[in-house]
Amino acid sequence: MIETIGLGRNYDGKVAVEDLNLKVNDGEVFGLLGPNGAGKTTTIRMLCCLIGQTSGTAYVNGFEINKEPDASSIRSVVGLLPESPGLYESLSATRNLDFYAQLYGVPKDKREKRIEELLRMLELWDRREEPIATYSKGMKQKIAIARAFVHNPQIVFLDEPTAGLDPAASVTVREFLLQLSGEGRTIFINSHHLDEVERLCDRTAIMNRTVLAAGSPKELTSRFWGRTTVIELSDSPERFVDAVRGIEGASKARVEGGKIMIDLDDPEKRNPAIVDALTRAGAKVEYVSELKRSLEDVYLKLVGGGQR
Amino acid sequence: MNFDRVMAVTRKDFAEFRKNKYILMTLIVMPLILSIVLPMIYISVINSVGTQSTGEVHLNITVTINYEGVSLSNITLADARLERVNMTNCVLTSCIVGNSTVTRSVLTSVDISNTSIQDCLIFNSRLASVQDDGGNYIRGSFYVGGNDQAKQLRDILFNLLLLWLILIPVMIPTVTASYSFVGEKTNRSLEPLLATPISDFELLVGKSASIFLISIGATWMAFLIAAGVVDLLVSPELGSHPLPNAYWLLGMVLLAPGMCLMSILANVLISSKVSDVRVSQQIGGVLVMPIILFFILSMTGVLASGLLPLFLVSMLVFAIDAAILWISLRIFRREEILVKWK
Repeated sequence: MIETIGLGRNYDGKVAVEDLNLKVNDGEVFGLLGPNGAGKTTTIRMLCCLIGQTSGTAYVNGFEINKEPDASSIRSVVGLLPESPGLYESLSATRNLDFYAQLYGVPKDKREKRIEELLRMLELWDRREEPIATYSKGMKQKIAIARAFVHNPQIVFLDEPTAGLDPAASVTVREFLLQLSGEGRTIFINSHHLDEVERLCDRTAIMNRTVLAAGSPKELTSRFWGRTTVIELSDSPERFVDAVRGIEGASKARVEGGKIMIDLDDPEKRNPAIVDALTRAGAKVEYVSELKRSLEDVYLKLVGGGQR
Repeated sequence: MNFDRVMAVTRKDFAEFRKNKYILMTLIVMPLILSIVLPMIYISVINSVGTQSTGEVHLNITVTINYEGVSLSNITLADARLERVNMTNCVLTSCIVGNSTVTRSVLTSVDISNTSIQDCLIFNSRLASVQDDGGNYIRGSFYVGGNDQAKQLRDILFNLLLLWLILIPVMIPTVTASYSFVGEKTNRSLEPLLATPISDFELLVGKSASIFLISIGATWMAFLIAAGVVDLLVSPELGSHPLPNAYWLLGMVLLAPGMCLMSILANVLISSKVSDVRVSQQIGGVLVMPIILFFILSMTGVLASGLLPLFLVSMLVFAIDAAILWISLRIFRREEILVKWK
């Protein structure tokens, strides 16, 4: 489990992260969203004990960050994909992964097996002995992700795992992550790719120096907008909108884009009464659906254009 | 300290060095040039002095004063003729000496005949029927009375050559260390590396070990080649192979590793503070200048005179190494490296 308590970090007096309070459960895929400069990378670096905090504290797998001997224990149980792959270009994929597996103390037989497993999963086994310098950007990123998983860590931090990749490479990386997330470990993803976070993560937090909101994508949308039923009629909706006003549990009935929109506390329970009211008023209902709010809507509502 | 992690870093760096043409060139070309060219120049300079034999010296002496059948000590003489004179602690210039004994004196442009000489230094002089205390003639005007003295002078000259070759273990790390540390920074590989359980000390030791082993390997190879070149050049005259002697062996085993470590640690210190390989090399080059200067100054002093001074200086070098390591460990901040790299 990862828990941050009032975590903060300044760089020469400039606030990068302040009063960050987060909780990530074991086995959860957690996404940290935010604009450039929101403090996402700083947060990961603090949690990996690469840099110290200037206020607050955090616990990773029960160990307190930046406090020996806890910091060493944290480094042993986490894997990190930094913003840049940072691979040794003149060495092969096998040599790169083997080096890191050795640093994490993985026994020779286990690391050979693990490296083969990861490279086969990434479809890079046939190119395992070629220098990294000959790899494409997407392939390098895959190797860097494999490096974060080479010692079977309990917690993996991924900083922008698909940044700078073409769509095909992004899909491959996402599939790979989905495969690895199924192994019951905690994965912490930094990203500003909303779609990626929505697809991969169980829960997410949106931050801009501090946490603005946290929860599952569904929880976040319902928290900010509630649930909205959309009804399309064959006739002009303006004529029938008054018929649904005053129904219990319904609020803000309005016409938007030629459709009736009604904010409801419980659509599954209220929708039959609404349809009935409209039918009785003479309207011909063509279809009833729920307005889908995306994480992007939440993100834009919270962060807006206010990027630093 | 976890040795497996240290070894992993060392082996990884070795693998990278093997693929880096610039480092390979440095490891091969510089020691090769220094180990072949330097001894050749050095020996030819010694020979140019040593081959001024008795018969080839042309003297133009104008005698203005004569000494005969006297004893002289602690005196400086010029343009004098000395016959049957016992001289001790004298400095003679442009003199003619015959049927005399000279002890612990310096003779320059002197025509010497039928004279017994002991513990003297003679330059550009003509010698005829001259005997040292052992009755052996030692060629050339570059002469110190007594066989042991001559051997001692020759050994000092060989020792000085070793001190010149100390440039190799000092210079090689300026290239390898710069690549090793700043290379990690520019390659952006330091962040994932520092996120592993490896400690600062293990990382410093692992990286220093790879640089040290590769630098000292090239150094020893250069020393052996240089010794071979010297032997090849001087053995026809000496009838023996003087190198490597005990001084060289001690230099290779103690002084060269000590100096190599000093250079590595100094460069590590620089590398952890700069972000560019070339800047690191330039600063490293400047930093080793005092080290080189120290040795050039030492050449005129006692360092080349025997094993004990060499041993003591080597111990001093190791003490300085320990001090730099201590400072490095306090200055090496993983956070600073991560945050301040460009």
